[in-house]
Amino acid sequence: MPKAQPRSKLEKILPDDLSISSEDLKPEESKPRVTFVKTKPGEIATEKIRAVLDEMKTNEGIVGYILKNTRSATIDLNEPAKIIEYAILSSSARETAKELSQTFDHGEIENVLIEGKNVKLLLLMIGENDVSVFMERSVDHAEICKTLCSIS
Amino acid sequence: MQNEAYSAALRNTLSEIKNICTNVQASFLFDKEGTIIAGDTESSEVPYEKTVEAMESLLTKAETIGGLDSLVMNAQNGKVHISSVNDMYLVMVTDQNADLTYLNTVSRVLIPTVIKLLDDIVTNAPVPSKLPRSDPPFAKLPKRAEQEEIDEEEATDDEMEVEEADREFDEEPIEEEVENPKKLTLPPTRSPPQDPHEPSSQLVVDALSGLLVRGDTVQIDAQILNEWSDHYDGAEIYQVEIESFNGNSIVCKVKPIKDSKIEGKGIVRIPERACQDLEVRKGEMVKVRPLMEEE
Repeated sequence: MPKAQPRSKLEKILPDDLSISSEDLKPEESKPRVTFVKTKPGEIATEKIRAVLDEMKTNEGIVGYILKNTRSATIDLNEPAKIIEYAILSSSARETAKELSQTFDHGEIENVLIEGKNVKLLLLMIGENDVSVFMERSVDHAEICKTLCSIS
Repeated sequence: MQNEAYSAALRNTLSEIKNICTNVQASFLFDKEGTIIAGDTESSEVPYEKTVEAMESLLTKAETIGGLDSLVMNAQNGKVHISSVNDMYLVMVTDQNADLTYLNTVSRVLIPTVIKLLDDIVTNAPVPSKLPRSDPPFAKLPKRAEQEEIDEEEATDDEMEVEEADREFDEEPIEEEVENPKKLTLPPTRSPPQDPHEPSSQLVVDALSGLLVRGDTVQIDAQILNEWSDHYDGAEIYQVEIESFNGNSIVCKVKPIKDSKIEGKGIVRIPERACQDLEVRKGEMVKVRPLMEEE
């Protein structure tokens, strides 16, 4: 991701596509340097989701995750040999859920849980990001769902 | 007939589930081949086929995670819950307020119980001692020793009896057998092979059970069927005679095994009812030979 040069003053006119958080607007004495990162809408959320997923993956029972949006896709799974199968399953599950939702006129999908004999898969749509989390059956998927949905 | 009974019982079960869980909008069952088994009585307008089509691809892909056990889709205006029950998939469409845990518990207890009850009823149904009123799924042949005795007795019978039998046979309308293809008493044009060089195979029994299992059809390796077919100059094998080592034998239809996991393992898949008639269990050996039309 290309980074803009750090600027010391806020008075300068900001281009439209530069984002700024409330943290950045604190007085200069409490935050000596303000860094502007050139991002597109939704990109911050993607980074946050990725960070949360990376942390989750260290927990016991989490097999891995797939994070996908229109610009990029990240796959991080404990079983590299099954990456393709899991990616296909994730995609197929998403398509099936969409078809089911359309068939029964259920509107926008919030989440989908698919339980297999060994592994379960949680599908979430957070903004423009499609998240698939693979985990063992013993893992509390509701907690994972809650954590990920709280990311805004 | 058997399938109809299962279907009716399951339809009533689904309707009862819907009565106790008022959040259920529609529910139905389909099997692994995508056949709709039953739907609750008030869900006649539900697009069953569309749902099954949507699921087909996922069911295949879900092999990666050991096969689909359940699927829960939470959407803005409702939920869809699909769960695996007794080699079938139960689809329940509910509104947003449905308690899926409760629903899951109810359905996973009720449906297997109903199926088990029906299985028990079908398995333990008394076999009529005389000719059955309804069409038997397959024709049971007498034991070999019994057959020889019968043959001897028949040989000593006077000609009048033979003539009477012939006359009775002639009087039987041919259309009746055409109209009733399920009737599998051995037709006069077919007979067990007498040639010692005719093919036969000793195969291991695998009991076939389930809702959609045809009671009159066994399954064996396609390779064996092909070999037999080659032996008879490419003629297709429709029927086989299965003989157990205690002398029981039956005649039934035959189809190739489609399950690649058990293909080529020298297995004959026999419906449970037929296993009972043959007095064989899973893992035991039986002799299987093709029945061909007489030239």
